[in-house]
Amino acid sequence: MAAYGVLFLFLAFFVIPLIWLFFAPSHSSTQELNSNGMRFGSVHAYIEGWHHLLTFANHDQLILVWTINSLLYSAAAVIFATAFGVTAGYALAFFRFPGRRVILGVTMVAMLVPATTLVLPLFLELSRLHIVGSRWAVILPSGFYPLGVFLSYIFFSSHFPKQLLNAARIDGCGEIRLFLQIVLPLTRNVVPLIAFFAFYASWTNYFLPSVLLNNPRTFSLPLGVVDIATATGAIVPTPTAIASVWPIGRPELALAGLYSVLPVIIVFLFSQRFLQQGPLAGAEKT
Amino acid sequence: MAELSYAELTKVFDEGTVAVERLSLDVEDGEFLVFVGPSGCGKTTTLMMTAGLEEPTSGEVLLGGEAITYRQPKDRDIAMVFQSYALYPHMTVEDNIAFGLRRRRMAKPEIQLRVREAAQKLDLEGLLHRKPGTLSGGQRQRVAMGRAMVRRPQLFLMDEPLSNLDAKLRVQMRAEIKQLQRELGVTTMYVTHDQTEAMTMGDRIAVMRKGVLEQLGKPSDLYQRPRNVFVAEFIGSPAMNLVRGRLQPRDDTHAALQLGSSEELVVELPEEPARSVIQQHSGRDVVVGFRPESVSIARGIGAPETTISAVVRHVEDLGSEVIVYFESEAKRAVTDQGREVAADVDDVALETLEHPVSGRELCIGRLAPGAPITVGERVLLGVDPAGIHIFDSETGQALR
Repeated sequence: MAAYGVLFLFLAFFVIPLIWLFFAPSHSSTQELNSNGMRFGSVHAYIEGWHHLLTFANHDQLILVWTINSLLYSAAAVIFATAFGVTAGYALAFFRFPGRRVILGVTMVAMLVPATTLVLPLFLELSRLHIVGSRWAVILPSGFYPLGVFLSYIFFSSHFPKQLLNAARIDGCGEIRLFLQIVLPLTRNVVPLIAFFAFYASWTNYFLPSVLLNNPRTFSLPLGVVDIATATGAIVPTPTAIASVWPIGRPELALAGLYSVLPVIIVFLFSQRFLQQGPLAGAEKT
Repeated sequence: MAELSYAELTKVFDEGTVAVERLSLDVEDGEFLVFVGPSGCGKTTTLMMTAGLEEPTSGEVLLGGEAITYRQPKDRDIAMVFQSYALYPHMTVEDNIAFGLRRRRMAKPEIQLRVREAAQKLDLEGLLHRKPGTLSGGQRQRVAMGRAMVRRPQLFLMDEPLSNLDAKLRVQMRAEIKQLQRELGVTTMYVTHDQTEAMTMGDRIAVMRKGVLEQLGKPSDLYQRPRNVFVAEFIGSPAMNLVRGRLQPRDDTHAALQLGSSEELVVELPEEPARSVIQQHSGRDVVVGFRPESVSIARGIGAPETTISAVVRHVEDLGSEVIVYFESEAKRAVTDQGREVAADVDDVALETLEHPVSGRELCIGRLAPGAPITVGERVLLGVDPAGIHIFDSETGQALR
């Protein structure tokens, strides 16, 4: 019984904030939310809250701009990370070339180093290219995704039958055709995995964009949500002069938070089937 | 169709392992040559070098008289059947078979014709639109054959194509492949570690060991005249009995082989030059070999110089024949080469070879069905003098 008690406490600790987050936007004001946090208010409040969010920064509908930005950044991350990951993993798994082991080692290390530690050198690099502040500053680094290279390397070296490559070579394929016609169609077990992780990493990335972007119109959604939090009285209870301009309180901020994670949940639900199959499915040789 | 030749072909891997050492041999046009040997003997490396999937360290590969040593696989006019079949899982059977032809920009009607022909021959007509994943092992094997066949190449390469099939299907496919090859007349290089496959399929067999060609010959040559202990142990099932003996001169044309303390077998010496070689070994330890079918039961009336006394320890009645395990004075000769052959089978085989359960090792005899024999019985074993092989105990080379 005691064990169940402890487990229940843990459950409560993690689940209550989630429930609160879902219920919070159902209240029409911070006061109402503060007194009824764990109770459902009304559906209408979600719609009203959304309209309030659209007024942020003088009815600029910034939240929609951020959404488009986030979609752009994530799409770029998915495309770059998958393209580089699959090709690099393939080369590392099947070709012997000088420096291969070093690259493999560096990939592992890079995977374990937190992205935040790379922010300063990356900032200096991008500022030399004069693209700090532009969308390219977020898009370009998203192609650097060592986890994708690693996943793809593992897939090719342990699940992809090498004899298929030899068969295709004997059948008359050159290396490029071999990759496009034989290898690529058979990566459907690893591509969704890399794509999902790359999407997730990009969508929830806060620190790097916060250093590299300064124009709110280039912000990604997480950056924008923090902008709302700091520019309004949603978190700090004493509203500043500017904050009072927009009808944005805690319910609206909670809604913005909820809205920002919604795509991740949708993508996850959509790709769950592929992710659970993982790289193991299709290990059967033929 | 063409003849295949290797000239001093050598492969040394980066870490220094010599996989194939100065291999020279010629495969005739239309011949079915089987490369056989335990794992690591270099047979697969030789195949890979022939396919162009592995680059030789030195030496040459010639196909139809032309050096193809450093040509790309696609430029060699060869087709290969892989152990795992290596069918493209995302393509239908038809596309799998046609893939190589399309890559060579063959006209569509010609491709269709060839695919249909192959499908008919291999009984794949109903499966052309299926994916490999939905086929049985035997069907996949046929598709792999079809893919190689439609190319009508100068050379077929087959890398243990039957090892993924169950025993019954293997026997069936063995015959089918052999028949197909004979019909098509394509020169074929077939790699296997299974000596039965080698014996039943090959026009000739190349036995390899540690990168070196130990013997090349017709199956019957290898069986009847193994050049050394390794080939003797490797070819034949049950394997040749190999026992320790001492060579003693008898007269100009005969020698005696002392087995244990009291047993002796007398053999006739072959013609020169083998005769002098054997005579030089007089008084020295040798390895004496005889096949299970050279053994018979003498029932106490055999001549002493062709019989040894033994006790029956175990009998396996297979219906068509009876396999009998005897214990005698003759001690089993455990050579390094014998250990290699056993280690290739599995750890248990090696363990049994090194530490025989009974303490004294058993010889095997293959007798006609219905042989009246009981376990525990003491018998006189007749050993056909013509079936006795003598090997140098140090080098393992055959003296006779």
